[in-house]
Amino acid sequence: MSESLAQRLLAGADALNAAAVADEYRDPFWSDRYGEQGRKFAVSDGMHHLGYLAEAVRAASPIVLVKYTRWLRSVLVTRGMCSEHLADGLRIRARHIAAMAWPDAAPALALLAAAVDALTYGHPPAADLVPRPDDDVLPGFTALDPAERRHDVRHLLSYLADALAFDRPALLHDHLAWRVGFERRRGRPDGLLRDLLAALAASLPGGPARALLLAAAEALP
Amino acid sequence: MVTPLTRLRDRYLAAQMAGDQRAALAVLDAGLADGVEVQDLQREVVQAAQLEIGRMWQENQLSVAHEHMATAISHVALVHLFERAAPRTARDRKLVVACVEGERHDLPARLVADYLELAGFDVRYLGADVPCDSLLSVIAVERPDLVALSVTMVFNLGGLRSAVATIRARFPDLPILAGGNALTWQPYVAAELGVIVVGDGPQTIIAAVERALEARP
Repeated sequence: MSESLAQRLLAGADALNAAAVADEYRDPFWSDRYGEQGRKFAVSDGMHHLGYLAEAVRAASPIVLVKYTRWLRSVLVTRGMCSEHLADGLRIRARHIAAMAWPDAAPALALLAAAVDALTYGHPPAADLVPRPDDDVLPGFTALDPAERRHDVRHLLSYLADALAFDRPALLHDHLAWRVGFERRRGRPDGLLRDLLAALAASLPGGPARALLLAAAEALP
Repeated sequence: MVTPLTRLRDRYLAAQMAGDQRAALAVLDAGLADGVEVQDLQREVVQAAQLEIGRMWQENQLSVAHEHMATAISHVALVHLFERAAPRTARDRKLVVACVEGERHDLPARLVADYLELAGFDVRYLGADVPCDSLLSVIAVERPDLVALSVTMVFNLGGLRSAVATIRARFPDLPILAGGNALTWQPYVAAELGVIVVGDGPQTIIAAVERALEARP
């Protein structure tokens, strides 16, 4: 148990969280999808992340943070986000905590890493679908630059994994229906999303994941 | 398994979802007319329906506004049941029941207060989000035999820690019980604070209070 680290996290939570939310909102998804109301939720959810992290630090155990993260996933994915959005939020907060250079920060970083890992589905067909942030699983898709490609592929596959794990295809269908307009609003050419989905589907082995992705692509407006 | 109580819960839940308070109370009255005990209606109908409401909110099948509407009906429902219950013989023991500072989920504490009042205790129920200094001032005036604190959300465990420390500083021998979902998620906190954890269900809660009062120095 590290009461001093827990206290430091809580004392610095407002500033840490504000910086983290500002980072999150560099992804245009957030403003476009949820607007200013979404930013308020991002702030309050982010404070809860840090509150649960502080409790996990006190307990010297990831259990409470993992339980919270999995519970929150079920709240968020049914409201238009994917697991990787939540994972990104935890990773961003870990980066900001690391940047504080606190001498005893290591347990907090390890606990956040455990919470991110806990978002990985353990059973097929959702298991092993989502790449890590640095993985480039579609290097031949050059219509997007590498950073955008890694980001978009990871998030699209996360929506796919969530839809499979929750057995709710609508989680993917609904996201893509919104995303068609989002792609247009941010100036991407018509057809790019369809091409990206086709390339992704081609990269997957046959089975429920590929079938759902193809069905969702065919249903695009 | 479908039982008479689960059928009542489903009918009560449907009335809640429709925002129909009179229909919700009529379901409870029908249960009473069929001989169902008040405690069973409190726990297996009202509390069980609230858990389902929470699950539906979690899965975005219900808006926050609908959740609040449903919960408001359950507050009235608990009063309705309380008025129709036959209280046990008074025990001449005073208890304070409160949610810790920051905790806005007050229905579980309300339910505990009702269980204890109907079991014959003299209960002062303080509701949601009670600041430490206010809690202390009530304790100073009322001089209860025991304090029961409710904390649902883990991020309000700081409120429990503060409340326990504040009470102990002034009333070191006053038994403190604590309960709620946060202590289920972080069970070590009860041992850390030296508080007695109340379980779930009226008999368990009443027994925990009785034991704590018997053990009081």
